Amino acid sequence: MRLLLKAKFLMLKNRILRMRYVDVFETLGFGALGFAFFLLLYWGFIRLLYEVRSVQLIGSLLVLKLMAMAFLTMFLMIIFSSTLASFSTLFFARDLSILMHSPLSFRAIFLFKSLETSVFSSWMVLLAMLPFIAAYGQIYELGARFYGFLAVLSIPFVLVACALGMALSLTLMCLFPSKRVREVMLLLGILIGGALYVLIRWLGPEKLVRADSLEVVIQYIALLEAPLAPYLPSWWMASAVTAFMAERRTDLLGYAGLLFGAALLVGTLLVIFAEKAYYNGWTSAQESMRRRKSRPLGREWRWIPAFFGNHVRAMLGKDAIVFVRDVNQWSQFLLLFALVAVYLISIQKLPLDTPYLKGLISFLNIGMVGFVLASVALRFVYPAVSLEGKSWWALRAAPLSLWTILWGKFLSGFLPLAVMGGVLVLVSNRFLQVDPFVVWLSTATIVVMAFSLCGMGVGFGALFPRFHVENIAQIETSPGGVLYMVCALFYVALTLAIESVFMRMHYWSLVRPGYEPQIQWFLAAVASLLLLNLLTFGLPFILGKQRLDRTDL
Amino acid sequence: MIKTTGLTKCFQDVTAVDGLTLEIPPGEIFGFLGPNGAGKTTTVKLLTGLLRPTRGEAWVGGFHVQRQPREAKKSIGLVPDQPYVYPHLTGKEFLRFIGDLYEVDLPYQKKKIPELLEMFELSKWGDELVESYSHGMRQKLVLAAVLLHRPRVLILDEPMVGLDPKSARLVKDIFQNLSQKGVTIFMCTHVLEIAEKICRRIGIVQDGRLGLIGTAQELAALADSHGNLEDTFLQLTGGSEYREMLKYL
Repeated sequence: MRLLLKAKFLMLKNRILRMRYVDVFETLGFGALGFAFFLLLYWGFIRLLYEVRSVQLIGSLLVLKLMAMAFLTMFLMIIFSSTLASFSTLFFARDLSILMHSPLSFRAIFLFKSLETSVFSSWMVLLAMLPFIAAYGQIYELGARFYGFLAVLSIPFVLVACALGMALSLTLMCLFPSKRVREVMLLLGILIGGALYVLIRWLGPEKLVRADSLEVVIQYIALLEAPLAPYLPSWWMASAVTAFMAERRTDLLGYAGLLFGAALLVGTLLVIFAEKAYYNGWTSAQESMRRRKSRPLGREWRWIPAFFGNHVRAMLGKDAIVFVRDVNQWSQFLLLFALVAVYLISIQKLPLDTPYLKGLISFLNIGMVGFVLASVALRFVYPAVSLEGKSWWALRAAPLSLWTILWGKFLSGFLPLAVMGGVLVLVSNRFLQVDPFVVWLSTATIVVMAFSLCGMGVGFGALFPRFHVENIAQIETSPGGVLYMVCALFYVALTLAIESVFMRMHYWSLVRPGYEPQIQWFLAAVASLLLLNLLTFGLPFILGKQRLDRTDL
Repeated sequence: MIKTTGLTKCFQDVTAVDGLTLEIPPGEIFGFLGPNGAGKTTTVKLLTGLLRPTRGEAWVGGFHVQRQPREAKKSIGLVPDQPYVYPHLTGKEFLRFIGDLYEVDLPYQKKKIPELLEMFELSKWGDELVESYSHGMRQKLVLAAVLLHRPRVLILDEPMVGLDPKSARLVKDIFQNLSQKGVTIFMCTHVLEIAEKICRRIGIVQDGRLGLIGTAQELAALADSHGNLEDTFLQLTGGSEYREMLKYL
């Protein structure tokens, strides 16, 4: 185990020491950008928590409830992330073929891989939580001791979540041979979807928004005071924070003991289970997939219209086949479908009884769908170039230009993205029962957003290619992926800001008889939208192409 | 068919290929030999447009590799040193993909793909995913893909690695046959017997520089070696001193 960690440390050291100046600048640039984004979120959370805390009587209860919700979401996200990551790290990692043939014990290999999985699957979630924690500490003036205390407690918290995720993937790999990995992933998707639905209905966020929907105030306070999943480490974390703030030392030690005890227990059980199951799971993963049905030659991508031309058709066809067969690529779709379903259900349940609220929500819905599209593009469009991986030589050696390659990647992302966005916005509009103007505006906006976000995804993916990664998650969580997401969110926010001009004109025309819209504002908004989308689509696309052109194979 | 003038590639402070000047006429099989790290694979990448040269120029099939990349690439069939192929495609699908990228017409593909699979004894594996192929099978699949689009120049980086003796013999015969039909073959290899048997001329590269060039006999004469190409190669690249070291193992 020490030897393996040392090798990992040496790899990291070599990577850092051999960084070129351009890499150093790139890293520093990304670091600065990440920090700016962190500050923005931190500022947003400070505002939010101040507002919530200032609500008379129940402010502090609301803040605690928010924290418990955040910890619970974080806990479930780490479980999900470690389940998916452990499929790659525990069973399909490239270095396993060397490790498994070495005279190391399976326990040592498993422990090393578990540690790797825990780091992979939790760092991003922890980082995302940091602005919230920092804001929380700031508004209650908790000082450095609070952060130190949270950092210590987050170790068992993360370990329990990761161990549960790994136990799940270990069980699935043992129960099903790898030939049936699709069925396993489908099952996993259904489980995740179900868990998410239960979680959202459990949290019932709309109840917090509309306190008046509950019959009596006491009922609302009881809702706030009720523990959120009291048997899970997320509640122990939240309770430990409360105990820390109230300086209830015994409670604090009790919750810390529970967290460390749970980590020790779950960790030990996982190691015992792994000693029995890991080797079987790994050998099962080495079996190849089932034999394909023979298909007559020439029909592989016959379903793609001929007007795309031979090159693009072949690229689209190849990408579609690879996507369907590569479980790593589509498995997170299941989570996404679950999230979308939960989003739609929540929209349906929103108590929208005033026209103003309905108008506002239907407008914000455009941004929400834009956010979903940006996330989908990060997951499926941004990695498209990098996923060519070591087969990239086959495309670069072939007589087709980089434009054609990028165009093919764009098309294979744009069509599904536009359809998905369109369906999502139409269904949510139907639930919201918005007027035809909003339906047209939102549908057109989403199609344009799909176009621009997809172009930007392909462009950024080409600008920061990573052909040698093992795991798709390493592509989307790379600095380039994070930068793409930040830019995509900025683009969605800007689009929404510009479109507020149209919405305002529309609502004024409804409520103010004889209202004359100012044509110059209308034209300025249209021109801004055009410029924004041209830049969003074109700039990364061109820069990405230039970067790939310079990239040595 | 292949021409380079002062072709140079530097990676930061390392010069991988240093002023390579070479001319290979149509129909010649040219062997490109050298120790590990001598710059063979970099040369292959420069000739196929996978790398941009730091200095110098290259023409393949009569086309300038940098200025007319599409035309040059259309005339090249490349077998890289590592035959990485999309693991989630079947053998047949990969060949169809390559066929379409090189604009090979569909009726020809339908006729030729089963023939190529048969020739390389991959027929029963044609509908299997490439991820289940062995290294040798992948190598054969890439060779089949190269032959599918009838290139005028073959650029091969260690084409015999992983092949069983029967397949190696088949590949050797194919190369000789293609050469007789006017196809130029540029082959990097460590299998010196094959280079000696099928290459008309051999170039030996060391530290990025093309040290010697000529027929096997000419090289032997230059090295003052009376043995086979292996002895000549070791004489020229300084490998013979290892014999002393072997005594201590």
